Amino acid sequence: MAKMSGRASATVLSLALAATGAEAAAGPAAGAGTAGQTQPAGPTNDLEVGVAFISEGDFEAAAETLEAVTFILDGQPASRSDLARASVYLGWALLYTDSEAAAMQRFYDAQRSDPQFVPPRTQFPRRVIRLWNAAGNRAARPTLPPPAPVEAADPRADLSEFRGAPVDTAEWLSRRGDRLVLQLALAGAEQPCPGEMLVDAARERLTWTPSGTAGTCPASFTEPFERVESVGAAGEGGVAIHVGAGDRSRRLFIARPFAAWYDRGASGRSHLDLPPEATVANRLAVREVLRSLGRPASSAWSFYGSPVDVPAAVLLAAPSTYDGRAVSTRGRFARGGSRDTPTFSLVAPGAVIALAPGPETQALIADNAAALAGTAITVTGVFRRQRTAELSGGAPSYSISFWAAQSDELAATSDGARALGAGLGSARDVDVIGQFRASNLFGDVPPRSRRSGGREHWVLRDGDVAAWVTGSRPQGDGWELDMRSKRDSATWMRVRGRVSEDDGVYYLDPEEIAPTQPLWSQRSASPGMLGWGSLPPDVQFALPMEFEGARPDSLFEVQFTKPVDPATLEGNVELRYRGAGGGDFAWASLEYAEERRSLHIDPGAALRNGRTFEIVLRPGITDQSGAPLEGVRTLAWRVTGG
Amino acid sequence: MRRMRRVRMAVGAVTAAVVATALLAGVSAQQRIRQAVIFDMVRLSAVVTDSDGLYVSGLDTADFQVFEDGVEQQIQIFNAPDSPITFAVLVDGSVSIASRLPTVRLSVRELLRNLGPRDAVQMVQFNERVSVLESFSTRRDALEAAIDSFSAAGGTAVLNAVYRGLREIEARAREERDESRRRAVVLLSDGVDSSSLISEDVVLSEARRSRASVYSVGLGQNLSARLTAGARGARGAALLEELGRTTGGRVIVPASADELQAAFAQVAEELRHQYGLAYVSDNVRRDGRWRRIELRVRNRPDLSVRHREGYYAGS
Repeated sequence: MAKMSGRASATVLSLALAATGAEAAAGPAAGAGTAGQTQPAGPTNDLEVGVAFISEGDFEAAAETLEAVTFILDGQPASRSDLARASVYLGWALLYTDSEAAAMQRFYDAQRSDPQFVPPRTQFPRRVIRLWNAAGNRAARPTLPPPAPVEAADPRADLSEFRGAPVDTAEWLSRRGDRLVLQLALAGAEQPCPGEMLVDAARERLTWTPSGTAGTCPASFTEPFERVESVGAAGEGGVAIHVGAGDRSRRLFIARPFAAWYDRGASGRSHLDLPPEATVANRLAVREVLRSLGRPASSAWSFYGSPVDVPAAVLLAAPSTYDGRAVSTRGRFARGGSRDTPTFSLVAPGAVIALAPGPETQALIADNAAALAGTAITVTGVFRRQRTAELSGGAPSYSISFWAAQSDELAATSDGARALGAGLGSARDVDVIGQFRASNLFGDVPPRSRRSGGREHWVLRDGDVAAWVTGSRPQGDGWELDMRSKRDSATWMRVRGRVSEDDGVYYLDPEEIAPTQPLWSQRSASPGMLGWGSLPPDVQFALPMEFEGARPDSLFEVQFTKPVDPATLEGNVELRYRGAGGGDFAWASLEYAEERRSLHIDPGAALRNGRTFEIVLRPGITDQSGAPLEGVRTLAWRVTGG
Repeated sequence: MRRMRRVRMAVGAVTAAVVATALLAGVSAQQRIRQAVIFDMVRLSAVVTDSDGLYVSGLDTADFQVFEDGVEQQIQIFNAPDSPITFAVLVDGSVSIASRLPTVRLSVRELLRNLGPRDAVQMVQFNERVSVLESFSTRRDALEAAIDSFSAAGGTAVLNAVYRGLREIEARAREERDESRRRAVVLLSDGVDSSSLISEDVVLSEARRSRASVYSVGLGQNLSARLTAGARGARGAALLEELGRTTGGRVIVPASADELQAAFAQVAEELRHQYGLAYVSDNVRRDGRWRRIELRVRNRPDLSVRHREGYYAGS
């Protein structure tokens, strides 16, 4: 084995290290070794760095950097224009870190430094321009020429003025009983069309009523819920709603305060450029509309962000935009490969994308692949470029690892909720997998709905849907569940039978019943969890991780050490800012994912930059045997960026 | 507001702090400020071996050639194997290691025995939860105390732990702003996950972005045998191998628990022979495409170089 050389431990080559001003010789960076080649650097380079921080939304870093730059440039007469430029960007950074007075002062300084300096209107948000003009009025002294006012920002707005600026949700969203009312703007070819969307759960109608009369804006429309094919986040930014079939069925909406996003249409826009405040509003709109439609919104969140509703052909036309992101897309399911190693793909006009079932859908697809072949399917998952083909010099290929699938074919045999719905009015039996809930000891269905002969009836629950299983005790060869105790509620059952409905309550007349494993059993049947039965639940992990902080549009996920009773979460989870005030989480949403023992938390509002956001979990949260959380747990994240 | 960006400044706070210091000292800020402009660098760790599998030391910048998609790149930073290293040690603390705790303690001590005075180590133990026992310390006594506190109970959330380890290393790198350091994650686990929130997919994505090389020491049983087992153990073993291949690290599988200490000695040996390099890609497009990296030792085709395979541009 060769021996190590005795040279210096590190050599830094071509790293731009330089002193500014008179001390122009290169110096060592902190902790680095000897500097080799150098390149000029100075306050103007720092200025560009500060500008770059702003473009990334890191206003605190921008403010720190630009403070130093203005300090250096002040007193250098030859650098008046640079100083003015640094000051105006510093003002921008300060404005977006809630320091409006300081920002005004910086704009004032900029105008004094170089009265001829005019911030390019295309590069600054309107909020900055407004304050710049206000500072100009103050700067207009007899000894100084008035600064040049700046025209209104480009009508193709980037919505930067909303970064860090709270938007009152009540301005555009309200719920009155069964009626959800959203003040939105519909994307038109040339301009946004403002209007009101009413989602009436009682009448099962979705109505759009434009508030303007512009000729290019479409007229009002009303659609029954069953014609609303999908609701999701749009790749262009906003909310995509598909009504009926065909290419013209897709409409794009955005919350009214952000209507300028659709100035000159939605084409060419990317949701990645939206400020977090608009992202939060879009997410909220999707969630609430789905809730009113009575559809699960759980797929509206994932580790990869909110799934973007996007046609398959668009995915392949702009793959780098969607690589590594959650998408929801449609096509026909195709099966290939061999019997032992089947492959799956999604085929759409102009696109073929490999499908990889995730842990949540593996069993579902394995059981139903034959029936699904050739049928229409909507998958939700993460889109990826496959690097193996490219590594061997082949053409790029793409895949979607999906955790949710929707299809008419799946409906009859998949999860309990869909199976129950699909089995209604059907002459055939359906398979329903759900959790044993004893003789309605958790109140999953109205007590009055128990039919006569109730001693034989018990409840099966899957997610938000529960059904009475009638006329057959939960017992079989070598097993029996206790109908009068919550103790057996961790057991999963497969029930094959006929479905009926009475006054909104499902009833299953079983042919077969048997204990089974949930679809995610590979993950949740944890050897490590054995022996935890007598211990209280606790927090196991949280995303984002606390040491990393959060962003204004962050969603949160808290994982527990063992399953908790979802019914005990309500009222025992508090969202707040550390210190007094500023917390408005009226539209917050909690969603418990049993398969991962995790609680999704959507604050329902953009978090305030610079504040510390806290989630407080109280001992009212219990596991399924009633054991409470081990004391109050407070998780905290510092909010930065925007 | 995405745009291509060549230069990234990571010293805003440093600049402000230097200004403040200069003010206090009554010295012109212009004469004091040092800038360290850190480019969007592609960072690699590399281990060079000869035809007998022996480590090769004593190489210099000029000995290496780095190619990205076949185009030679200019090496900007070169760290010799004796440069300091920052690494996280992630130790499985699930109930399955209870009987092997003394061996585990001895093994991790073997790793620390080879530390240099500037090497910083984070000591983490995980079962369902991930506990940081000592955060990036150079103090041997503190790290020893952390090892003494190892315990065993509960299940295994190895994916949560690796994800956190990789993110902690990145956060530490941003804090340190020290390009002379090499970075690694050393994992002691069987790779079998029983209760993580994080998926394998996410962990591998994070590893591809990370500047750290991941070394895994298989715990107790022969992981290679599990590669054909077709069960959860196989997935765990495959994950560890993929982590190593992706990051330029490797998996070391002791045949039995008795050889655990030797396995850690092997990791320590490899870390002592690991080069660090960084370059700024000539291809400034941040198009999300996979960029294949090849590292060679100039005029020495007989030498093998292990490093990460590539990276996603813009990731």
